[in-house]
Amino acid sequence: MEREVFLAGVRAAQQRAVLPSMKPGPLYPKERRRKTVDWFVESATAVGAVVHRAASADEVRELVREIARGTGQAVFTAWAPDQLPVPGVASYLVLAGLEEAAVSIPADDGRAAAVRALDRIGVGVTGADAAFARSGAIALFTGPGRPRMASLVPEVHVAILPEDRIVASLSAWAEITPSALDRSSNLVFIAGPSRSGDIEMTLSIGVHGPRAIHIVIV
Amino acid sequence: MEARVDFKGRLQRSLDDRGPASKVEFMVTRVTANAEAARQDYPFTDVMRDRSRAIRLHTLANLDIYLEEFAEAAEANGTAVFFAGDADEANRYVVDLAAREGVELVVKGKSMVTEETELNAALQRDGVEVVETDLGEFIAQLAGDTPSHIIGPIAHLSRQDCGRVMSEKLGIPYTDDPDQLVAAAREHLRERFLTAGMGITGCNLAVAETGSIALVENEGNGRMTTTSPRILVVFMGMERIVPTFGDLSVLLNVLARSGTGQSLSVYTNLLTGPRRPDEHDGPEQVHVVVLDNGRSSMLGGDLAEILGCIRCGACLNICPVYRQVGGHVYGSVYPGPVGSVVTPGLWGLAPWHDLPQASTLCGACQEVCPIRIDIPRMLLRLRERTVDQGLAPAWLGWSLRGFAKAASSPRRFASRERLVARLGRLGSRDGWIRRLPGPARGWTASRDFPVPSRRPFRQRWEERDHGGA
Amino acid sequence: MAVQLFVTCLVDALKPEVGEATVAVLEAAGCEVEFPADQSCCGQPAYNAGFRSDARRMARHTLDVLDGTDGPIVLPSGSCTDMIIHHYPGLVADDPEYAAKAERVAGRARELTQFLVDDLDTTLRVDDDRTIAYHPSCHGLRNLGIHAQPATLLEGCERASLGSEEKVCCGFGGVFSVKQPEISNLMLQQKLDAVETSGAAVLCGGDVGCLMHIEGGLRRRASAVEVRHIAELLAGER
Repeated sequence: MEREVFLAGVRAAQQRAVLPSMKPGPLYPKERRRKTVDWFVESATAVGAVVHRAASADEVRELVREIARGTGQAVFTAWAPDQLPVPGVASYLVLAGLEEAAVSIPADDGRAAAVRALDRIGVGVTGADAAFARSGAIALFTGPGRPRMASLVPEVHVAILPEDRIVASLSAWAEITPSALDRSSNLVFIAGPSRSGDIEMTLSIGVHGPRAIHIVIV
Repeated sequence: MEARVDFKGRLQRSLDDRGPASKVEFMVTRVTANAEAARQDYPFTDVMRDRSRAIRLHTLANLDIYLEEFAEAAEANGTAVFFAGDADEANRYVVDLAAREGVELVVKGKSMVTEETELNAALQRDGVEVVETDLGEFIAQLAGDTPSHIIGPIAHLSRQDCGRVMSEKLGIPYTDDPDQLVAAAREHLRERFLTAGMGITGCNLAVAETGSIALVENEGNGRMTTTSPRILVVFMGMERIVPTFGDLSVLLNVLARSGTGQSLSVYTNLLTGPRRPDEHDGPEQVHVVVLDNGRSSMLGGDLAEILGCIRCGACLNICPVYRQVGGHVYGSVYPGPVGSVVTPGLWGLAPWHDLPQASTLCGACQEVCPIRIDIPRMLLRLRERTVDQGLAPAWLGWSLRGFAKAASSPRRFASRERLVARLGRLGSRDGWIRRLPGPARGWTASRDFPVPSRRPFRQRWEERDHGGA
Repeated sequence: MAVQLFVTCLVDALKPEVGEATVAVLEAAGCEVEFPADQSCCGQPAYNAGFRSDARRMARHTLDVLDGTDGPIVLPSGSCTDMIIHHYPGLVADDPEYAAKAERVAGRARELTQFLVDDLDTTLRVDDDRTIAYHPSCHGLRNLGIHAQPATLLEGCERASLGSEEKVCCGFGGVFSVKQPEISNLMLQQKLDAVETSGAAVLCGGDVGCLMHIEGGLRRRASAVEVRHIAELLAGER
C-alpha cells in the first residue's frame, strides 16, 4: 500500500479513537544508592552467569585462560585487541594452545562457508559496554572488531567487564545514554545463559545461544 | 484467518480431555507466581506501569506521526520499510522478496503477527521451506499443532508428547528428558540457522526516533535469526511502537516482569538497520513490514486502548477462564483476555462473539496488565455490540427485557416476586432446588439453587414497620 | 444517622435474612435505617450481559428511587455498589437530569463493610468461635478496594486462608453462570477445593451472588461448610 494512503487511514482513525486519560510517571525512576558492583554480582549470579573478580589485567588473562581451558573447547574467537578492555587476551589463549578463529562474514560467495565455519567456535571472548546491577545484564554494542556472533554462537561466552561500567539499572543507563541506538546496527543486553522453559516448564540451559556465560569484572 | 465458529465444540473438547488444559494451568500458575514476586520485588512497579500506559496511549493518539518518523529514520539507517494494508499484501511482499533473492530456507523467530497473516503457508505454497526456531513453536510445527499460549506455545503438551514428536520427526532415539530434547533441537536448528537465506521475526517494540526494532527472548533463536541469514524481515503490527529509546527502557522494565517474572529477558536485541560497512556480521538487508490488517479500524473506536498491548502474556496467565479451558478453546491466534478483544476487533464480531462472553469480568487482567488496559470495559462494549447486532440468544434478551420492565414498576416487581416465591416451592427440597428448567438448567447441572423466599425482604420490612409479622 | 438501605434484588428475593442481618448490624452501629420501598434491581445483570437499554431503564428507576432520599446509601453487595458508583454515570450520561442524579447517588453509595469500617469506624466485630474463611468478590475487591474492611470485622476470629485461590474469581459472573455453565463450574470447583482444604467451618463473603453459587456447589459435595454473608455473622447469626 502507498505509505501516504496507509498513514492517512491511521490519521483518520486516530480522530475517533477512544483513549482514556493517562497519568504520566517518571521516565527514569530515581534509584536508591547501592553498592552497584556487589549488587550486580548478586543479580548476574541469580540469572545463571558465573561471575569472577579480577584485580589486574594479568589476573583477567589468567582467569580467561582458565575458563577457556576448562571448557575443553579447541577454538575461540575474540573481539579485536583494541576493543577488549584488557590487552593481550587473545594471544594468551593462543599460547595456552587454543586456536583463534575470526568472525568475518563476507557479503559475497564466500558467505555460506564463512557462516558454516562459525560452528567450530567453542569460546567467545568479548568486552562489555555497560552492566545493569538490578537485572544482572551486560550490554554489548556491535561494531568494528566486535562481531555479534562472538557472544552468540559459541558454547561459552566470556565477557570482560570494567567495574566502572556497572550502573544501577537499564533506566539509569538509558538516562545517560539516550543515543545508544545510533551507535551501531546492534545493541544487545545479555542476562545469563540461553534458556527455555517451553517443555513442561522445565528450565533447560543452552538452547540456541551460549550454555554458559562468564563475566570477569576488573 | 478463517472464522472458526464452533466455540461450544472447542469447549466440549477441552471438557472431555482435561489433559492439555491442566498442563496449561500448571504453567500459568507457576508463571503468575513468578510475575507477582517480580512485581513485589521491583520498587518502581507502579510508576513504571503508569508511565508505560502514558507512553503507549500517547503513541496511539499520535500513531501516524510516529510511524512516519520511524519510516524516515529506518530508511536513513538502510532499512526498507513496507506498509501493508492487509495480510495478503504483507505476505506477498515477503514471498516476492524471497523469490527475487533466491531464498530456499527461512528461519523464523516467534511472531504472532506472522501467524495472524498465515505467512508460513504463503511461503510454503511458493516452495520455500519455513522452520520455526522458538523451541515451543518448533515442536508445535513438527507436531502439526498450533500454539496455545502467547509466551509458552506448547504449554498444553507433556514432555512425553514432545519426546514422541521429536523422535518421530527428527529420527532421534526417544527421550522425554527436556535437556536432551533441547540439545537435539539446538543441534538440528543450528544447521538451519547457518544455512538459511532469510530470517523472519516479529517485533516487540519499534523505536520511532532511530528506526530501530527491539526483540526480547530467552533462547537465542531470535539473535540467530537476526544475525546469521543475509536477509532479515521484521513483521510489525503498526501499533507496536514507542517514540524514543528512553520510552523503550520504560517498557522494557515492565515487559519481562509482567510476562515471566524476569527483570529482563535473557536477550534484549536492539537492531538499527542492516550491518554497517565496518561491521563483521549481521544481515545485509533489513526489511520492516508494517501491518494494518484491521488495526486502524480498531484504533478508530472504543477498542483503541487494546492496541496498547505489548503482548507480555500476563492477562492470559492470570485469567481464571483461560486457566481452566486453555488457549485452543478461543480458536484464535490471540487467546485469553487480550485475544477476546483483539479477535473480534480484527476479524469481526459475528464469527467471534463467543469470546467476549467467556469472562466473568473479574478484572484480574486489568490488575496485572503493565499498560493498565481496561479489558473489562472493552469486553462489555463488545457484549453491547453483540446485543445490538442481534447475536445474543433470544431467551436471554427476552428474560432480561421482561425483568427490566418489572423492575421499573414497583408494584409489578413486588407481585412478580411473590409469584416466583410461590413457584419456587414446587420441586424444591429443604430450601434448595435440584433442577432448574430451560436455559437455567446449566446452573443446576453442577449446583443447587436456593428456593426463593416465601417472605422476601420487602415484605419482612413492611411487617416490621407495621409492628411485626 | 439515617441511612438508606438498597438491599439488592438477590437478597430481597433469595436471601432476605441477609437483608435483616444488614438492618440489625446498621442499627447496632447506631444508624437509623430507611428502606425506599420502590427499589428493585440496580440493573447490573442486564448491563454485564450487554443489554444496555434495559440496564439504563433499571438505572433510571433506581436513581429516581434513591435521589429523593438523604444520607448514605448502604448496600450489602460490592458488585451492586460498583455498578452504581462506576457505571451509572456513563449509562445515563446523555440525559443531563439523570446524569446529575447519578453523580449525586454515586457519591452517596457505600458497600456495607466499607461503610462500617471506613466511615463509621465501628467497634462491631464478628463474634464466632468457628474457623472462618473469606471470599472477596471481584468487583468489590478490584473496583472498590474492599479487602481490609472485612478482615477488620473478622479480627479476633479464627481465620482460615484460601491461599493463592483467595483472589481468584469463583465463576459466578452474573448471567455468565447460566450462559457459560461449564466454565463457571470449572472455576467453581477450583474455589470449592480451596474452601475444603482451608479447614474452614464457615465461608463468608460480601456478595450473595457469589455466595449462593459457592453454597450451591458445596451442597453438591455434601460439604459441612456453612456459607454466610458477613452481615449475618456480624449480627450473630450462626
